[in-house]
Amino acid sequence: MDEQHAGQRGGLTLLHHAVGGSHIELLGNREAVVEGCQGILEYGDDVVRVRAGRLIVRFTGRNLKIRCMTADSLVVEGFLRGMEFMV
Amino acid sequence: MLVQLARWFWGSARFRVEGSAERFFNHCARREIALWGMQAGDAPGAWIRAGQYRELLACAHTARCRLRVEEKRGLPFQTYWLRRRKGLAAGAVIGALILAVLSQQIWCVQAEGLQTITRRELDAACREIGLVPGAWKSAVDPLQAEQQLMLRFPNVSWLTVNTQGSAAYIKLSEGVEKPDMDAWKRPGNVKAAAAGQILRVEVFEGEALVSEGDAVTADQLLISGVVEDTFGNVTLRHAAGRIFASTVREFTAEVPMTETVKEETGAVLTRRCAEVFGLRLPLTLAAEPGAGWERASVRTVLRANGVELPVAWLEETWAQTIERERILTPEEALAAARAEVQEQKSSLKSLTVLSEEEQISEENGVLRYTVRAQCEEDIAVEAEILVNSPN
Repeated sequence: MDEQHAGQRGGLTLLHHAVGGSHIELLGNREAVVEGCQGILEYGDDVVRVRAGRLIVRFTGRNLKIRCMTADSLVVEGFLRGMEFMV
Repeated sequence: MLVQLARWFWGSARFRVEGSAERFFNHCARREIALWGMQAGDAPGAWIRAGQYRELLACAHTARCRLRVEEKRGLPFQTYWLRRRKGLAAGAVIGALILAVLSQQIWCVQAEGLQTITRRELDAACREIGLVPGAWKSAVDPLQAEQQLMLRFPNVSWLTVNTQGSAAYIKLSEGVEKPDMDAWKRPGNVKAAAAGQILRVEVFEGEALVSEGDAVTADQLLISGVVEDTFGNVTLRHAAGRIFASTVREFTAEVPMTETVKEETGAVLTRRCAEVFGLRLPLTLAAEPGAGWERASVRTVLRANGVELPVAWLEETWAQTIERERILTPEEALAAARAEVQEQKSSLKSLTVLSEEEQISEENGVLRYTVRAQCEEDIAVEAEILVNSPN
């Protein structure tokens, strides 16, 4: 049982490294909290692109806004239609 | 809500970014400049705390952007006009502080239900226990104050002390003094207060020793408290009763024909002072004139909605007087003498004057007025029998 848990934890850690150490939380399709992002690449009403470690995360939707932003996190809100990961 | 309140308190500004908004926002994020309400589209912009706006200029320079302030909100901008009126702002702050401090104090003490107790006596008692204008409300314990005032005035049946706002209200009800019931238990006789002839005898307790038509002298025993029953047993009682007798009274009044009167010379001195929380602030430099002057003072207390405020205005008017001898006319002297005799008559209980004779004489500058009156009165006076108990 413990070996199974250890295996799961190892898998999550690998995934965490794969997405560049960022942590993304979605609140329905209304809000996305991105922790561990390195900056905004594109900011528009329909598209928000942010750099998250080795990945670029692209949020699409309408009336998108960055509600607040700090050095390593931001909150995107609006009507989210999609989220893409681009390498 | 709290965040919005903080933003309003510190002030915030909305600016527009001309250039690459993404680069500018990234620089701001790296410099840990908190932005909110970031807008995208043709006119990108954001909100920032007013005090941090200057820090944006470096970010804008690095990102090769230009910033334009579009809107300002919050307390610092709303009160900007006060910067040129610092005195007004300081006055408002000081006023608020004074109000905050003064609201912790008692401004006035109001009393209700005073009958025999005078306001001056109550004020003196309140001063002793610290319930005075200017006292801190936290230092006044209403329950303790009630107890102390009740002890100070034993004839008060109930008393409450309440603090409402900055006023202390004392409500009291004066009770009827308890009669001395022990006096009725002590044995006593009834004696005659004056000589006369008995007209009527009313015995409530004891044994009557006189009857109608008897002539009695002053201090004669009228009703005995020592009662003997048919078996020869003696009991001591508190004798009581009313003995009406026809008496002859003589009232005399002597009035000097000259009197000393004070006359004003016309010189008047007015002294004024303000009273704030019991502290008197003199507004006149002149000292009290002293002897030969008479004072009349008026104290005007400021009121608001029927509540006395701890601010009063005192005005003392001193009038210079001189004493002068005045010779009374015979009519004036006689009137004064009659008034004095009338006072003597009214001091006697249940006195009815049936007839009277007046005698007026003047000797050595003194008017002597004598009234010899035939009266009907209650001459009964209770006198205690002193019994030495072996216990």
